[in-house]
Amino acid sequence: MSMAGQHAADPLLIGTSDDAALTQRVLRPLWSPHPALGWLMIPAALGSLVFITALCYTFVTGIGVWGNNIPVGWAFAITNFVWWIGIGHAGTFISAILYLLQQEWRTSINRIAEAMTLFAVVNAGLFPIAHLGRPWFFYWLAPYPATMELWPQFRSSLTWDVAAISTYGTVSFLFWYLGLLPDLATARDTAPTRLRRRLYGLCALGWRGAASHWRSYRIAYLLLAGLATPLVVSVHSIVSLDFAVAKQPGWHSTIFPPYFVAGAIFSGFAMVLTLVIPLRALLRLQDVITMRHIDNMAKVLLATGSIVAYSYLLEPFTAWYSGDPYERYIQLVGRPAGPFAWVFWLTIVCNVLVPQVLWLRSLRRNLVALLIISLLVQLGMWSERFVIVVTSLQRGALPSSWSSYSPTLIDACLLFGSMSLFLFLFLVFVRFVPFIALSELKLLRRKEPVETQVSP
Amino acid sequence: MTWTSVPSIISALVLSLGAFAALSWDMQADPRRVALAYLVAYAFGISIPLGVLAWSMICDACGAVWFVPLRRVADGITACFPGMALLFLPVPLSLPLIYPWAHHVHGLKQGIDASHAGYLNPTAFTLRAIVCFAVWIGIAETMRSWSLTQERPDAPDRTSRRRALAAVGLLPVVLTVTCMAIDWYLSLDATWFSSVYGLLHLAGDGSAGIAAMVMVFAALSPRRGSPAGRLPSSVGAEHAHALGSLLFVSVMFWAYLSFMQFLIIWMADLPNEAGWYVVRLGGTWGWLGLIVLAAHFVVPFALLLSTSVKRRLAVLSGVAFLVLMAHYGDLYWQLVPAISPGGSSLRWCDVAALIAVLSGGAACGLWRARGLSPIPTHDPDLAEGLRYRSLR
Repeated sequence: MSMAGQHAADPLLIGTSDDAALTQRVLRPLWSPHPALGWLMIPAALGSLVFITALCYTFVTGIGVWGNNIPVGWAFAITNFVWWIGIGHAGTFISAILYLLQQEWRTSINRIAEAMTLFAVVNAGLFPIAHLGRPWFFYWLAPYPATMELWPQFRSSLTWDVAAISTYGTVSFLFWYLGLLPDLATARDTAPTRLRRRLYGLCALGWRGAASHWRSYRIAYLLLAGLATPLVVSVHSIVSLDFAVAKQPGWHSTIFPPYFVAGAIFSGFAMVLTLVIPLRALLRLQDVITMRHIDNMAKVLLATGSIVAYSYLLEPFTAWYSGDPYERYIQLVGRPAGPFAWVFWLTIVCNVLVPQVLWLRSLRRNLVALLIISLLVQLGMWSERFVIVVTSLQRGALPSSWSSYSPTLIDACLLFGSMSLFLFLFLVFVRFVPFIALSELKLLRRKEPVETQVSP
Repeated sequence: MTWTSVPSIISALVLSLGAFAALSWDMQADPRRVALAYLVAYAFGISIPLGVLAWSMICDACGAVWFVPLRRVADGITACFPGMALLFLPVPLSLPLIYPWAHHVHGLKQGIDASHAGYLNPTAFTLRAIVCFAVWIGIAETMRSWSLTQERPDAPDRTSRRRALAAVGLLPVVLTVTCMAIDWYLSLDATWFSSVYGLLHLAGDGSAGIAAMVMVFAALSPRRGSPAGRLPSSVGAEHAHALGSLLFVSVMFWAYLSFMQFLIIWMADLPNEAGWYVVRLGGTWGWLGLIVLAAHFVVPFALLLSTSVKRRLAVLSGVAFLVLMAHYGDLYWQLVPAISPGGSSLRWCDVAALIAVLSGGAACGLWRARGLSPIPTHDPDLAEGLRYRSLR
């Protein structure tokens, strides 16, 4: 549970003389932003415009503009949805579970991961709503007292999804904002202009740093961590039930819930690495986000990747063991040798083979290699969901209904557009919000004096 | 008399042999039922060192220093593996009695096709069991010997090696436990299957392992007037709290996987999958299922939410005992309906089998713990482990 300090060589925080210096160090990107971030915002904003345009086009014309057909009624939209919601798991895992496990290395990266979670959940939520075809009726999915006595079908796991994801989004936001309060107050107190002091002051909700504030804050934080922990497991379990309760070959498998949760944390940590490695280099955060953080994240990637590999092994084995001809076909022929066999093998390479190189300490500490691995993992996790969704629908239990599938330009625009929107929101966050948990770093500096005051 | 004195080891051994004698006498009356009773008792017995092995590997791989003062307790339990391997022998000898696939004609009738028979046959079963024991004994003994080497003051530091083996070894351990769950337990039903079964079984093993560690910890905790062979008083509430948290996590993980397996099978309602639950949720089996749910999840969950329960070793060991009993009930509920679908009461052979396996395993563990200090005195992380304070 608690970290072994002796055998981990790297400190969690390097050479900070006092709190004031640390404050100045961490909040500097807010007052004098790096120009590269501004330049990056331009393509991200343009990509977001593409996303909005493609969404509007879909709403006006109907989802016929996508490559979906019968029987492949779920394709890119659901793949993107599962991919994004999976990425959104690392934030709460880092904030809640690692907090309860007393893993102090979470401190420098939790804020970034939590923000990433929120933006990923926003993206994830848009796809099922767009998939409704008539998104203006999305509130029909919620159980509200309608005069028409319209009521959601509670036996469908799709309505559980609505509840699970909206709960997850709400709790993730509250957790993120609660943790942010002391830092917003610090930003208010150190902001260079009057307008900024006013704005950050408004957002800090009257935080004064009094002992009573801190006491309530600690209790609320612990309670929210406790509440958020089951959510990390429940959300993706319910997403997996969208598939597992159906009788489609390749979907109905009891290992789906834990397998999806492990895959979600796997892709989420890959996304944290993808964001943190360039950000760390660009804003010179090496003393706050040390090699220990990078190394630990790589280890989580390896552990969750291995759980995913275990599931990949158990699925075809169980299909073979069950003797069910449809399950056997999809697992042993349909996926590895069917129309999207190359996507299947891409998944295996990216999710099973590539993370295993992280057993090597030298690769866990090679930033370029890690960035490439984290990108490959995300590609692999998207491919995995594509294989699950599309190949099973293409090769159902009724061979006369087997079909082909090809995505359209709009599908591609929505996928890449959502990535742009994600990047745009993240860049806005880095520009305006204290993106490193400053108050927790100060606490850490007191807790681990031997480790933290190592000079660089 | 200390725990590891020769008289206590001999009494455990005699108890085990006596129980075996009773079982062989009962074997003449109802061989199938006795063979199954032994399998259930063995499944319970092996789950304890397996759960402890898995948790101590996870703790070592994560570098959990609080676990270091309890390492000798964990190593003491996993030292039972060689004895447990010996106690496994009756299982392959009784294959045709309980496994439908081992009874060729009977098995084919139940819909096992040719390729299936390539996996489920006595030779392959035995070979896979040998591989399983080789992995468990190999890893447990290596880790134990590295830890024992450090008892010599001038010995080299084996901590990083132990941590590396713990990380690398987890995958083979998980794979062999999965293999064990499918071969030994799942294949009792000729047509049933579930891809999460191995993981679910591991979750049950994890709960049993931690519960057993809590009970050994309580038995070794210092008492007035008997300091010899006991843990120092610096291993106390903080460590109980950490173990209690792991027990809490274990029962939740078990309940999560059990519920997900049930929900997915119940909603699809396919005959070859749901049939397993139909038998186990009807009649007396249904009642046992509810008791297992209460004792393996609802009651321990409610109790372990409280910090004071986790920190009081006497109360915590009560919860641990409940979880252990529930784990036996769970295995009984899973395995016995395979031959008694209509219901079955607890028989003398169940009790005798439990005594035979547990005291046999304990005799091995106690024999190997002779003369060892209850804490790893020279472990470089021991001081930090004793200073551990849990999150409150």
